[in-house]
Amino acid sequence: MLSGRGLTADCLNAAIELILTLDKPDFSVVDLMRIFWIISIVVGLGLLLASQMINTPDQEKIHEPLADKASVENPPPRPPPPPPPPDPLRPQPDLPEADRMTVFIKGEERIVDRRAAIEAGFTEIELGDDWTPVIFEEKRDESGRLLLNRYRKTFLDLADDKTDGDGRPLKRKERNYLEVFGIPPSMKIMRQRFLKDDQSTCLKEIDYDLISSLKNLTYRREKREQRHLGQMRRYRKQFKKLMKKAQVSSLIDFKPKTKELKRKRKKLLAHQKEMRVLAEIEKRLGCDGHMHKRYRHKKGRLDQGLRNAVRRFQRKHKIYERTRLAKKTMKMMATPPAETNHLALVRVLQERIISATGILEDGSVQERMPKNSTFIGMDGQSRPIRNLVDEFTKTLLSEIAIDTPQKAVGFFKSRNSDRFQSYRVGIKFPPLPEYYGSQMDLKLEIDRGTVWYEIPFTESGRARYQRRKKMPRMTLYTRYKDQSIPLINWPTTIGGWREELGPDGYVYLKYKNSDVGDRVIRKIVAGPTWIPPKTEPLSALVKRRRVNGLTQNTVNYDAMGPGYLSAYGLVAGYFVIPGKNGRPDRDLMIRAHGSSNYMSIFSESKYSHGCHRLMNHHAVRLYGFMLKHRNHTVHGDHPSSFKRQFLYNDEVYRIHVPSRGFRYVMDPPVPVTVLRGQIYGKQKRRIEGLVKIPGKRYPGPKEEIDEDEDRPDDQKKEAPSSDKGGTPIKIVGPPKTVPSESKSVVEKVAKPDTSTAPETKTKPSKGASKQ
Amino acid sequence: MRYFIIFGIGLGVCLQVSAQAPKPAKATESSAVSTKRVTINFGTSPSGTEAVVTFGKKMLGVVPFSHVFEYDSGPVDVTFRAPGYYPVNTRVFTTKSYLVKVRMTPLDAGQDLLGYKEKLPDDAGVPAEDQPSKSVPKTP
Repeated sequence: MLSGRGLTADCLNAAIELILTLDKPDFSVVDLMRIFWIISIVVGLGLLLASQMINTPDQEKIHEPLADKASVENPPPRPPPPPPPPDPLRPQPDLPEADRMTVFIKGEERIVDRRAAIEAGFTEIELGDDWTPVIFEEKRDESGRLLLNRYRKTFLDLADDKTDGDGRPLKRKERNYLEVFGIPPSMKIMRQRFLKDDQSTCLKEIDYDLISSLKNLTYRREKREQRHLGQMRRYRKQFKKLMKKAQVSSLIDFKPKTKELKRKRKKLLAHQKEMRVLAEIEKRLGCDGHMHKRYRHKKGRLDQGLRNAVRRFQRKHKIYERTRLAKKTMKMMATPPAETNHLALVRVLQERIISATGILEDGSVQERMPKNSTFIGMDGQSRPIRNLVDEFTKTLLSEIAIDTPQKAVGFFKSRNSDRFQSYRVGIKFPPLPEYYGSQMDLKLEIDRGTVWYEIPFTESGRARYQRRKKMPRMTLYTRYKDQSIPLINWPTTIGGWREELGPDGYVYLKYKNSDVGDRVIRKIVAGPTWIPPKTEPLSALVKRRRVNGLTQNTVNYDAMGPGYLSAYGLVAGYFVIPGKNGRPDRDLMIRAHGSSNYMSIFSESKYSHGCHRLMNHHAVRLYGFMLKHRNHTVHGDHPSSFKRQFLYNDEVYRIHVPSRGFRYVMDPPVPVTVLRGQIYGKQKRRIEGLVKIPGKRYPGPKEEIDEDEDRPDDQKKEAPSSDKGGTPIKIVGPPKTVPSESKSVVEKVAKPDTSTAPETKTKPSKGASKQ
Repeated sequence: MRYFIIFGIGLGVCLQVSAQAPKPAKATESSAVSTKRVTINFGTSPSGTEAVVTFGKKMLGVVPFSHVFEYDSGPVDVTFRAPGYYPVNTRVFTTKSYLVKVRMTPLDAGQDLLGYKEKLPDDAGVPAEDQPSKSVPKTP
């Protein structure tokens, strides 16, 4: 930069140089002009300087006597009051990104100092695309080094529709609808949905009222569906003739005389209405981009193609239902897209609020345990357990003014997608309940509900219906003033009869037990990988997929993870029996983890392999809450060198798991109690051993086969002594071969599990005859 | 003097332009990341096996060899094939350079592998697997 003084010096130098040139013979007009300019600049500067020198003393002269007068006549004036401290929440749009937060004061969006806002009671909520739940947040070790969390980037890319689960770029127009798997869309994606649907004329032409007039649409199997359509064609022809005869133009106006005709007319009218509704549903799915050509859906048919499209729709709208047009799905189909998008936005914000504020209470206690939904406060008064998630969400929506779909559209219209790269807003939430703190006395309780130990088929080989009156539930309690306050009550799973690979390479049934008693969660793993036991049926470990232009079988890494489809879901808590007197913990391989198989959590006929499955978003919330309110150590990524080969359909598959996930160790661990539940049926103890599946072919009889209890390599030494070396297990012959008069060979040969504690009857058992 | 003034103006213009231009340092940094590569070495055991490694339709090479992948470009499912051996399917992770050494199993040594099935007798007294039985429970 050139200073003013420098310029003046340059000018003078130039002037001197020019004066010197006057003596030169080649003095020209250009030089004359230069002299003129320089003289004018010098004169100008001189005048300016002179005016400064003249003005200053005059002003002083004017003020001096006045000042003297004032000091004589009046006492010295009070020093002017100090300027009021600047408003800590004043707008500061020039703050660096890391130090700023956006707050909404009286409807005005204001960028303020982050620290000042937090001190003023605002809670920071990340509305940007860089958000992950607590379990995937960036963590540093004691030396300040950033710890690698392998799944964090994948989580962000999946939420932002950048890549698929394997990290490959997503195809154009392809979308990740992963809310049911615990990965909500990013705010940028939410913005796209709102703006796209707002401009769509296609979606505006749909008759939502017509869709809402039907509660559900019946799916029939292919043959039955064809029969039904044929029948309706015949009815239509018949009524066409009759209407022509009676000179009636509409079937509604036609009054049949016989009872049979009345029945047929009613059926045909219902069918016609169903077809009209189906046409609107097809339009809805098509406008929303769910009707892929590859689904090969035929118009007006309830076929597999439609099911695939419905599944996409359900995943987009987080509907936990089978791929039928059932109640919840139909209700959502009949809701205009602005409202469904608003519901999605609320869900997205809920996860962010839960993550930022460390709350968990979602109203499930009021719904499932109404008798226990109060606690005694400090003042001795009974207080209700609040639905904090709902309360806080409403606060956020009203503060940001996005509590209606129209307002949300306006919110997104006024902000471009770059705004959501980093967008932290401050919200003043209602105060937390008094039992909240940095160290909460938590306890997890799992009620197994109705338990059946009986083999799930009869002696003749028929499937046996085992009704579960009470489904397993998980409750998280906090201890406060000698009372256990339930915070959540969520559905979960227990183990049951599952397929298992025998040592001879054939698949049998085995009872996979969910152990009862006191445990602790010492380890929480985010983005965990599941090491398949050697007894896992191999068909589950192989997946057919497209690889670089060729369809081939590959190792099913989806099931192993890390990923939302992993057997352990997005996060897992490892149950162990704490070791006493310096002995190591006993790990019975039971975990409470997220699961992509969310329908198994609601299904009466589905069981886990012994673990307690949770919906992925529940697992993410639960373990995030534990990390927020309990002391823990961040151990970071746990590398692994696990490798295994197996043979399946004359090809070898090699599994390689490079990491076990991102590990947190709870200190102290969180206690867990697994309740016995109600044992139904004649069988009161679990059956050990492998059971042949009726109808399957097996090699010749073998009396005793050693079962290798699979454990990951690093845990083999920690295994309970009783399991070391494997327990000799009988393979029980198919009950089909057993003479019907005698008692089942299954029950005779298979020995009851003596390792578990004797289970007292909590309810009179109900015999199998009941089914 | 003239040259001095011209130089001064030029310097000023340069300073102004450089102040307004986007920072090139970040751009070079990101381009360096995008061009980061990993080298995967492929090998087999026993080492003499001349296995061909394919990635879908593309042949990557005959072991031993190395192949360069773009860093973090997603997992690569490869197949090792050698005459007289079971083909081996495995996955390569492109997050670091390392050696993928695969054990090849001769066709007559399948019994050593997990999942090897004994041959069934011709008539085991029950219908064959491909004939679905109605009595099979749907969900055990």
